Amino acid sequence: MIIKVIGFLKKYKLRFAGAALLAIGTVLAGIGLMSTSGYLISRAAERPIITDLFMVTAAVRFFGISRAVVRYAERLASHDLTFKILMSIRYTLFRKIDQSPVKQLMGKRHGDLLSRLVNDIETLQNVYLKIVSPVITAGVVTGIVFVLLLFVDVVLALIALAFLISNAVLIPLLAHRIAKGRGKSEVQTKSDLSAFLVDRLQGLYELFWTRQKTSTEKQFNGMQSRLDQVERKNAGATGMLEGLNNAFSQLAMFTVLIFAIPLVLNGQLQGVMLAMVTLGVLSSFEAVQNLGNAFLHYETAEQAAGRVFALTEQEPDRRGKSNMAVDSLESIAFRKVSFSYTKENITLSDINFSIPAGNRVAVVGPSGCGKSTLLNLLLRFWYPDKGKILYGNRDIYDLDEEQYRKMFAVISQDEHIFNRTLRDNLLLANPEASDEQLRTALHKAGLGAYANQLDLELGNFGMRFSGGERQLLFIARALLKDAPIWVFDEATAHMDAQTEQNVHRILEANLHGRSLLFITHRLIGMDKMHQILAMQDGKIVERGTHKELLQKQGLYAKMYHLQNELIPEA
Amino acid sequence: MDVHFFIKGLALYSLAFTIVVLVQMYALSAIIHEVFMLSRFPETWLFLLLAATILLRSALIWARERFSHLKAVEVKSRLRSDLFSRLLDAGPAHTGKGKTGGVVASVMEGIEKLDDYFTHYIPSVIHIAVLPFVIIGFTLYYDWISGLILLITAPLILFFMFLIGTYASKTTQKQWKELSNMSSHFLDALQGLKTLKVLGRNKQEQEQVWHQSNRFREITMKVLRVAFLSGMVLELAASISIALVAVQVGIRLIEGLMVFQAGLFVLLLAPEFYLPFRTLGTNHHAGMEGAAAAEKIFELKDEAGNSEKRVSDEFVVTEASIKVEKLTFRYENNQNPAINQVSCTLEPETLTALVGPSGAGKTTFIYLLMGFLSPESGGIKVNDKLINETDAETWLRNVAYVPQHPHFFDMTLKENLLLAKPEATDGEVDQALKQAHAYEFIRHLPDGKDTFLSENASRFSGGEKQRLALARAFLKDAPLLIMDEPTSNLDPESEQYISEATAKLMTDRTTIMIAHRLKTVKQADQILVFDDGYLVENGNHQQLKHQDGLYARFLQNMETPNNMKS
Repeated sequence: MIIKVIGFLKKYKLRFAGAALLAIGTVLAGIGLMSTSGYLISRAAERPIITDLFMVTAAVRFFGISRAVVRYAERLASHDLTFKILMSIRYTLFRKIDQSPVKQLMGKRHGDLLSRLVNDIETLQNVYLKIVSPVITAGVVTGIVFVLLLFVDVVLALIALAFLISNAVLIPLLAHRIAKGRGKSEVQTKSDLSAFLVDRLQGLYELFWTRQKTSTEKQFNGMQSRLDQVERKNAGATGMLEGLNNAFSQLAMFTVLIFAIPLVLNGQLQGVMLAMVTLGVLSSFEAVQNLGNAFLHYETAEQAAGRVFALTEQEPDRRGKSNMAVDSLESIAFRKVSFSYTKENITLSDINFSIPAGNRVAVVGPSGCGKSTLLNLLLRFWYPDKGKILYGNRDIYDLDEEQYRKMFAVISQDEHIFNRTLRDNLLLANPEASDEQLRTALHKAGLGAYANQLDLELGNFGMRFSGGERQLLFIARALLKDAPIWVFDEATAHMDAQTEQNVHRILEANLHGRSLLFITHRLIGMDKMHQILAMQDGKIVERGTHKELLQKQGLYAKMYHLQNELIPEA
Repeated sequence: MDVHFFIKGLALYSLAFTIVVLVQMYALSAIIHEVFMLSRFPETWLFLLLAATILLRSALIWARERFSHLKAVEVKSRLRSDLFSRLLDAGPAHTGKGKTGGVVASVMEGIEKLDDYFTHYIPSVIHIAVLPFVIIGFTLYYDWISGLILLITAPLILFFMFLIGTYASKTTQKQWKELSNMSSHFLDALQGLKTLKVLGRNKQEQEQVWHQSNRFREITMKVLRVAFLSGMVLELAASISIALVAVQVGIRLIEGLMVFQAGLFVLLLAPEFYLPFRTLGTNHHAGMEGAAAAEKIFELKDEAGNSEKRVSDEFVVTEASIKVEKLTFRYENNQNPAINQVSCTLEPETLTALVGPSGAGKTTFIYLLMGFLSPESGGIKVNDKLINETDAETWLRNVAYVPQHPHFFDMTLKENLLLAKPEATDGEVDQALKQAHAYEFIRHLPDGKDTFLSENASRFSGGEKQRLALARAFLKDAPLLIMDEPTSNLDPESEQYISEATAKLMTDRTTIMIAHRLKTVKQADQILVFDDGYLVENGNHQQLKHQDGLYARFLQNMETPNNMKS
C-alpha cells in the first residue's frame, strides 16, 4: 500500500530528486566536515608552512557551513514535497469518494470513519520523511563511502561496507519485530483501554446506581497493567535499538582503525590519512541510523495507507443508462420498490406510492421503520434492490444526475452546516445570489435576526445554531435553491413544541405549489397533507388523509393518541 | 521510582556518559598519535580501553533509553489511573454524559504525548546541565585556550536558542490555530458531501479541497521555515565553534605550541560538546507539547475535584418515608440555585410524579435523591438520617434507576443485567427479562442473553432498550424506584409493553418519576410541579387541576396539541 503513496511521487519528479539529493548532501557534508578536520590537524602537526593549509581550512569551513545550509534546504524541500503529496492524496480521495456510491459513507459511524480518514492521511506524512528518504539516503551514501574508501584501501572499504550494511539491515529487522509486537498488542490494548474508558464514563449513572464503581476501577487497573507490561517490553527493545546503533558505528571505526594502523606503519597509507579515514567512517553512519526509526513507522503507515486507498479503489457508480435532461416539476412514483442494507434485514419491501406534482405527502411511522431510506433512494444515494422510481414517466436513473438532484431541496437532521460563514453556507445553494437575496431568504425562513450577520462563522468554530435554527437555515437554503420539490426528513425531531409550530408556519408560507415529501414521527400539521402513508417494519400499512386514518383506528390513530398524551414541556 | 530518583538517575547517567566520552576520545587520540607521530604500534591497553568505552557507551545509551521509557510508562500509567478514579469519585453529575467522553479521549492522547517528554525532552535537559560543565572544566584544565572557546560559545548558543525559541513559538502559536482550522476543513467537506451533492456543489468543492490543501501547505511551510531556520542557526553556531577550535588548534600545532595528541583530543571532544545543544533544540517541541498536555490533564483532574468521604451507614427505605427538607442546590458558577428550598415527603409505596418545564430542576432533584450531588443546604432524610452523610454506594443499595436513555456497556447482555445484581442466577435473569417483556426478543437472538452489546446496544431499538433497562431494575429489586419516563419515538406496540412492565415494577415500591404522560400523572399519588428550581405546586391530579397554576396551564396546552388545525 505504501507503494501507492510513493506512486504520488512521480508527479513531483523534480522536487523528489531535489529533496533526495539534498538529504544525501547533508550526510556527505557531515562526513566531509569530520574527515577534513581530522586531515587538517594531522597535516598541521607535520608543521608545514601555513599557506599549505589554506585549501584544507577552506574545505573545513565549506563543509561546516554547507552542512547547516544544506540541511535547512533539505528539510524545507522534503516537507514541501510531503505536503504536495498529501494535497494530491486528499484531492484524489475526495474526487473518488464523490464519484462512488454514497452507500459506503452513510454507515452509522461515518463521522468516525471520516475523521479516521483525515488522521490516516496525516499519518502518511511519515512515508516520505521517515521511510522513503532515509532508505534512499542510506543506499546512496553507503555506495559513495565505499567507492571513496576504495581509493584509500580495498580492505578498509570492505570493512566499512560490511558494517554499514549490517547496521542498515539488522537494526530495521529488529525494529520491525518491535513494531509488529506493538501493532498486535500495544495498539490494541491502548484502543481497548480508551474504548473502555469512554464507554464506562458515558454510562456513569448506571455504574453508580448499580454500585459498580469499585469493580470498574479494578477492571480498569487490570487493563492498565496489561498495557504497562507490553509497553515495558517495548521500552527494553527501543533502548536496545539505540544502543546497537551506537555500537555499530563505533565498532566500525574501531575495526577500520585496527586494520589501518599496519597500513600506516608499513607505509601503504599516509599517516595524515589515519585520522581522516577513522573520523570519516564514524560520521558516515549517520546515513543508516534513521532506518530503525523508519521501520518502527512502517506498520502504522502501511495500515493508514491501506484504509485510505481502499476507498479510492471503489468503482464509480455508473448505473445511469442515459443522461436525459430534467428541468421542471413532475410527479414522483415508487413502483414496487424493495431495498435492504444488509442481507439479513429487509429495510423496505414492496413500496408503492406517488406524489403528483404540487401534492403534499407525509410518511409517518415509528423510528426504524424505513422512512428515511425512502429519501436516500429518491435522491439516488442508494439503488433499489427491486422495483423502480419514476420521475414523470422516466426512471430516475435515466436522468442526468445533477439536473435531477437540482429538483430537490432537503431539510433534515442529517444536512450539514459547513464550518464557514453564514454567507458561504447560503451561497452553496445558489452561488450567484446577491447579499440582498440572501437576506430576503433569511427573512422568509424566519431567520431575520441573522440578516445582518452574513459574516458570522457557523459550525464548530463559530457559534452553533440551535436545532430549530439549523432547520430554518436549511429552509433558507431551499428557498435560494428554488427547487420545485421539498423533502423534510424528521426535521422537527427534538424540537420544542413552539419551534416545531414555527417551522410548520414557515413551511406553509413558502411552499407555493411545490411538491412536498414530509417524513416524520411527529404527527403535527397532518391535516394539510394530501396523503399520509403510515409505515411499519419497512411496509406501508395504512394510507389516506388525516381524517380517514383517524377513523381507521389503526397504527396511525394509535400513534396520534400516544402523542397527545404527552404533557408539553414548554 | 519517584521524580527525584528519575532526575538523579539521569544526572548520574550523564556524568558516567561524559567520563566515558572523555576516556574514549583520549584513547582514540592517543592511538592515532602513536601511529601517526611516533610511527609505532600502540600498546594493547589503549585498544582495550577504546573497545571498553565503545561497549560501555552503547550500554549506557541502552540503559538510559530503557530507563526513561520505563519511567514514561510508569508516569502515564499512574496518570491514567489517577484521572479515572478522580472522574469516578466526582460522580456522574459532574463527569456527565457525552461531553466528558470527548474530553477524556483527547486527554488519553495527551497522556501519550508525555512519552516524548519523558524519553527525549527531560533527558536532554538534564544532559545539557551535566555534560558541558564537565567537558568545559576538563578542557580548561587540559588546554585552557580551547576550554575558553567552549566556555564563551556555549552560553552564546543557549542565548540564540532562547531568542529564536521565543520568536518561533510566538509565530507558531499564531499560525497553529489557523493550521488546525485548515485540516478540519477537509473533514468538513467529506462530512457534508451528501449535502453538497443535493445542492449540486460537489464538483466545485473538489477544487475547493485542492485550494484549501494548497493553502494548508503554504501556511505549514511558513511555520516550518521559521522552525527550521532556528535549527540552522544552531547548527551554524555549533559548526563555526567547532571550526574555531580546529583552526586555533591547527595554528598552535604549526607553531609547535601544542602536541598533536592534545589537539586531536580537543577536536574530538568539540562535536560531543555541542551535540546536546542540538538535541535540545530538536526536542524542544516535544517539551512544549508535553507541558501543554500535562496542563490539560491537571486541569481535568482539578475539575473532577475531591469527593468527601462519608461514613457507610445502613438505610432501609421500606416502610420509611423520605423527607426532603429545605433542599437547596446550586451548580458551580451559577448564580441561581437549580433547586431552591424544596420541601416534601415521599410516602412509602406511593408514586410521585415530577413535572415542569425543561430546566426547572426535575433532573437535579432526582440526582440529589440518588446522592450524585450534595445539597448546598437542607437535606433528604430517611428514618431521621441524612442520606448525604452516608456513602453513596451504601445508599444506592436502595435505589433502582431507569433513565430516559439508558446506557449499555460493551459487554454481553447478561453481564449488563447482572450489574444490578451480580449474584443473580440465570433463572432470576430470565424472570426479570420476562417481567420487562424483553424475554421474547432476546430469545430470538442467535446468542440469546450472551449477545455482545456494543456502541450502547445500537442493535436494539429505543423501545427494546427501555425494556432491558426495566429488566435491570426488576433484577435489582430495590425499594426505591427512580424513573425518567420515555417521551418520544416509541412504536405503539413497544409502548404497550413498557406501560405494563412499568406498572408491574412500581407495585410495592416507592416510585419517583419524571413524568411526560397524562396517564402517569393522573394515577400519581402526588405530583410535584417544579418551576425555575422552586417546588411551585404539590398535590394530586384532582387537586391541581382546579388550581389556577402551572399544572392547569399544562393541561390547557394539551387540549390543543395540534395547533395546526386551523
